[in-house]
Amino acid sequence: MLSGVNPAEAATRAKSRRGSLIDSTRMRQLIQQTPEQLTATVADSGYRVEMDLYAGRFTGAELVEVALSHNLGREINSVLGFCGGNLGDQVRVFAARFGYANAKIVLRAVFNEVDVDEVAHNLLPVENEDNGIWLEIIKNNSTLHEAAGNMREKQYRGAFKSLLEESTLSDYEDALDRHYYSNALKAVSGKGAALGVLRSFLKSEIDHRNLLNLIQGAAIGMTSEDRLSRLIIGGSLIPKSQFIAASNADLDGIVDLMRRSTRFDASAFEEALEKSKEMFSLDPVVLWLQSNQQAVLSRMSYLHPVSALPIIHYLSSKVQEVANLRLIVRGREAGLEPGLLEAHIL
Amino acid sequence: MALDIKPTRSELINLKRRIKQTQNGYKLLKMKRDGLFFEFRTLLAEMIKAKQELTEVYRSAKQRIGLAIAIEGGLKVQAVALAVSSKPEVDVKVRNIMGVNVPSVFGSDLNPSFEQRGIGFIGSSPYVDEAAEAYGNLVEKITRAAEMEATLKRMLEEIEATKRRVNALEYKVIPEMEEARDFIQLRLEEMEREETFRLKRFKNK
Repeated sequence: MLSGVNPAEAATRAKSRRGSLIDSTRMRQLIQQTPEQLTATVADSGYRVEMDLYAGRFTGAELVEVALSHNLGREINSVLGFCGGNLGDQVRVFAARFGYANAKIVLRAVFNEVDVDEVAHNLLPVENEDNGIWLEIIKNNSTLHEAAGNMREKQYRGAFKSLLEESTLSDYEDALDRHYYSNALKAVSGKGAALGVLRSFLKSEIDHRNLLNLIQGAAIGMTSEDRLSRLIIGGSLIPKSQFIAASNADLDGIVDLMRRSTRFDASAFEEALEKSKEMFSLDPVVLWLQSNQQAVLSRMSYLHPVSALPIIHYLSSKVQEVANLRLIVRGREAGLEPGLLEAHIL
Repeated sequence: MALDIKPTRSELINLKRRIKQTQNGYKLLKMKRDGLFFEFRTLLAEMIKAKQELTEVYRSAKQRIGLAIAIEGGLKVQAVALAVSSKPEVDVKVRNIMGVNVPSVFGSDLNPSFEQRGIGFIGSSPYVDEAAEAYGNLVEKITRAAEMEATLKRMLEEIEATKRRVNALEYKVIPEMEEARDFIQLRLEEMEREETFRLKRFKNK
């Protein structure tokens, strides 16, 4: 049950905003533009305020990327602003992941004693007011333990409870990722059809993460114990009871494990895995998993119209728009083939 | 050519000894030149292969970093780089190939493993990891190619110097010494004939 806000109004506002996003046809047309033309086009597509904000310090693709990130942060805050109560809590499940990414930057900067000005230059730019608190942590803490203890939100502090003072940076980062998913699953654990969809979305995300990590772990020669310790609890394809079997399995074994699920297209996954082996890159697997995830997200646009789902769908579409624009601008600058860019536009 | 030498028997003996020594030196230098040239050719073949590999690895690394920056964003790639605390270091030592001092390059942390990169595994991006690995591989290849290139350059210089020495011995030093030897021999024979003639004249008187 949603309380404290009119979900129909919030959903309508989100749908209305979704209508102003760049559609996929236009996005594909942008690939043909030069990097200079792209900067102007991105500014005209609703990012002018942020582009103007950073234009004095950055140029080219970097300007576009910093402006896109700032705009995304602003948009998420704006959406959360009109989603109060339970609705806000559910939308926050999706939005919180960006905060976790910032927490990782802070931990890395503290760990390697990176100058706060260096981080404030572009990673957590001072122009974005939300970054002030993160930069303060970098400035005032010299160890990971201290920095973790001084994280603003209680949710982050909880992530590090099980860590020791001598834990490494990677332990801290892994703890953050685990904590995000466990918190997110807790937040959508109630009854209701919309919550069920959100739960299955999160579970599929955990499954995809676990699958990728199992494959990558095998590729870099990680021991089965290490792979086991890196699996995230909460997925449905690889439940906790099958963690040991999954971490001991080779690539064929992982595919066999996936075949047991009727909801997973194991043969398409196997095909992507074969392509990956040929290319010595996980790109085909990532693309395949992302397109699956996108299919789950697009269902949210029409299922349960008066719930958090249309709002999360809008936010994910916005994230995708930012990712696609960044892909085109950065990709064009790096001289990547248009065909390659088009294949990665979702 | 004017020869400024004393036409004495001891000088002839000395000269003959020096010619023998020089010829021995010439033979050794010639062998060194041939040996160096053989080494050079072997290394050159390896170098050509290494350069081809380097070009291939560079193309792949460039493609992978381009893709990582495009997909994950330049900011995320920079953020991942914040976690890296080990920096690649290169130490140059000297080793000897057939009397030629060539550099030997040793590197540490040139291609750090995933653990050495310091970031968490669970939320890591395969694109950034692949780019980091490709660049680590590239740095290793560059170091190896730099060592080979410097070695080849030093060997080429040494081959040139040895060739000059061999040529100088073959076409200048040894012929001049042989000329001097012939001159002394001729002069001594002449002096001997003069002495014989002088003695005959003295006997006839």
